[in-house]
Amino acid sequence: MASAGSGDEKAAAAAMITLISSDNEKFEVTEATATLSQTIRHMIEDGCTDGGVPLPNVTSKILARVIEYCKKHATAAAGEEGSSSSFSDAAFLEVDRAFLEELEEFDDAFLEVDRATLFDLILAANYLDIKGLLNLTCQKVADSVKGKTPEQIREMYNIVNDLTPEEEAEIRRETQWAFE
Amino acid sequence: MGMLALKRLMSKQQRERQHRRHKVQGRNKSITSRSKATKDGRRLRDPLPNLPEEIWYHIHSLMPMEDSARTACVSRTFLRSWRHHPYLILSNRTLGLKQNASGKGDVWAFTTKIDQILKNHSAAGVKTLELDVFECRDLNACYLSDWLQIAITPKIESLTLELPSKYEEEYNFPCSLLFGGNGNLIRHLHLTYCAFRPKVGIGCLRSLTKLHLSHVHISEEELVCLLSNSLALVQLELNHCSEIICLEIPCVQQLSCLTVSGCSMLQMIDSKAPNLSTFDFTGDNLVQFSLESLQVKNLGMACLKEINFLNYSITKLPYMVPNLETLTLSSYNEMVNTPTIAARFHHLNYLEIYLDACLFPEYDFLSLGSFLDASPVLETFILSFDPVLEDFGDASNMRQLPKHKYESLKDVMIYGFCSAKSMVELTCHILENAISLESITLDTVNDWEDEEDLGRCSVAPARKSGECCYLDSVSILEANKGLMAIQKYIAAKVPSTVQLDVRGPCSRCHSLEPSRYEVKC
Repeated sequence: MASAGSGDEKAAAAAMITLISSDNEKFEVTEATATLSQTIRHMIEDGCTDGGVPLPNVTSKILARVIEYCKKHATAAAGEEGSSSSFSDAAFLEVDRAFLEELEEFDDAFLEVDRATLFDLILAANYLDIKGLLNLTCQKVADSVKGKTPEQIREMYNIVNDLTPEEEAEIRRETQWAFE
Repeated sequence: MGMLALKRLMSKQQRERQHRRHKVQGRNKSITSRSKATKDGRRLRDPLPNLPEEIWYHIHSLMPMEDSARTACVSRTFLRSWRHHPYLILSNRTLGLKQNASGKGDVWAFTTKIDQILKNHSAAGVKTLELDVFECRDLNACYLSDWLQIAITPKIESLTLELPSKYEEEYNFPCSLLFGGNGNLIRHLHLTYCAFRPKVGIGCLRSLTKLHLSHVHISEEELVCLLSNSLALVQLELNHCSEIICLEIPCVQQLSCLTVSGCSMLQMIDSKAPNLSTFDFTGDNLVQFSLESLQVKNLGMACLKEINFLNYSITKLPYMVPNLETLTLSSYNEMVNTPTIAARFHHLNYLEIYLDACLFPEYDFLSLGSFLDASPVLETFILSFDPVLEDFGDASNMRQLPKHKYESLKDVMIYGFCSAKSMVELTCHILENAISLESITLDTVNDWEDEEDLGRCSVAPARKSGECCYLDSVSILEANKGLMAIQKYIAAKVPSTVQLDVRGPCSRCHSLEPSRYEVKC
């Protein structure tokens, strides 16, 4: 919670933060982009970002993608804030709709990754506490099980069936209604 | 177009709200994964990282309930994820109320499923419970009490109960369960068919924003007690709450939306809510209103047994609720023409009027022009009407109202357009005076099945075939006469800048040919 005032806010928006991936690659991002991560936001608030923020759980490949997501969504958020004051209701709706559509397209394209990358993104989003990214990526997994048999799901996500045949049959009976 | 954009935006926002549901705290409890196990001899495809169990819970919470249940037998983690699924919708639709041998729904099997699901969820606690047991007429109240005991925990955020109709007289909702600290997070409460009797000093529901009571026995004092303890309330809906004579609403700051319908004993609504902006009322007769009326922007009123309700509305409402922006009126018994008035709805931009066919035969549609005259900034005018039989008469005698510029009027829709002369006159009057008109829809069928206003199924690909409303042959003939009247008297008067959309009977659903199932004599 820094002191208020538009001057300070502008300075903060322009401030740059360095993020360091597990394989030691450095990424310069604006504070507005970085603070989509609650984890980093707290570090900034605690004043411990000098010399860069080490992220030992995130590889450079994944961090680059995460930053790509945060940049896009930070811009959209700023755009929405700006538009609300300067347009009439109808124009505001139009602009908002355009933003939302563009963002939706971006998100769809963003999710075109293999399963391993998707899981890595989920773990990174969880670690960095980026709600939007976590929900986006988890939703992709949630949607992917639709219409799949249990065996297909195990196959898809390399999951070992650790239930005994008796247990599995019992659960099947219990959830039979969902198969009808 | 504006409404479409708004709907899109709202559905997007709803999705986003769902996304915001909750945050996952990752612990390092991992599921068993094949990425390490090769003993079954399979070659590793892509070594997937392990997801903590809580993330699987989160993924399951983003699935529809049925998908989560269906995948419960994948592994122990998936089983636990299903048992943590926080949104339970237990109804005939989701669980299936099967027919048994006697042709009745198998209530026993249905309640057993509900019982099993809720008991298996008791450890995790649910956030949303929608329980629809309306068809379980002989449901034992002990079951219900057990289920509510499981569902109403400090985690509950939304509770919707639809009980069998006889429960309205027989079942007391367990208030003490909800108010004793368990209701701190509840945002949405919707009860149907029960008694709800909160007592003074019972505690508050501090997160409650939406309260909907339908066929609920609650006294005036109990409702005041409930509302006084629901200070975050934004939306209140009361349907068929028959104990209430005077609906008293205390000063609830956030309350902006009030809907009251079918409360048969109601005589008065006295609201002290300072920010009430949307008010919908449906009843047999008008009741006395005492509202912070300057705030009211959106008003909908339907009085089923009131005579000359339009007449009342146009003469009284401009004074009672001067800041209206949208107004929807339904009149079922209009015995006089609508009078011209001096007062104005200065801010009204949306007006929708529904007229039931129970009009006196000479009702003059052209007199509805008074509403347009009284609304200088009106943008949208919708008239819907069930057509009556009437011959057009003499075309040489078309009346004209005094010229009156409707500068803002852009969209006009008339559903149930008929060949009555005064209906044609009203339409011509609008076409001549609405200088900014962009579109006019004239539909000779008032299709109540067509909620999305798509038009007949034979021309609207988005509608399922055969979905149009039923029309008897007399109505089909009348609708065709309406089309002829449009062609003859109106089409030529539509300026080229205005989009004219004419709709008639459906070529699939509204055929005049005798049905092929009819027995030939």
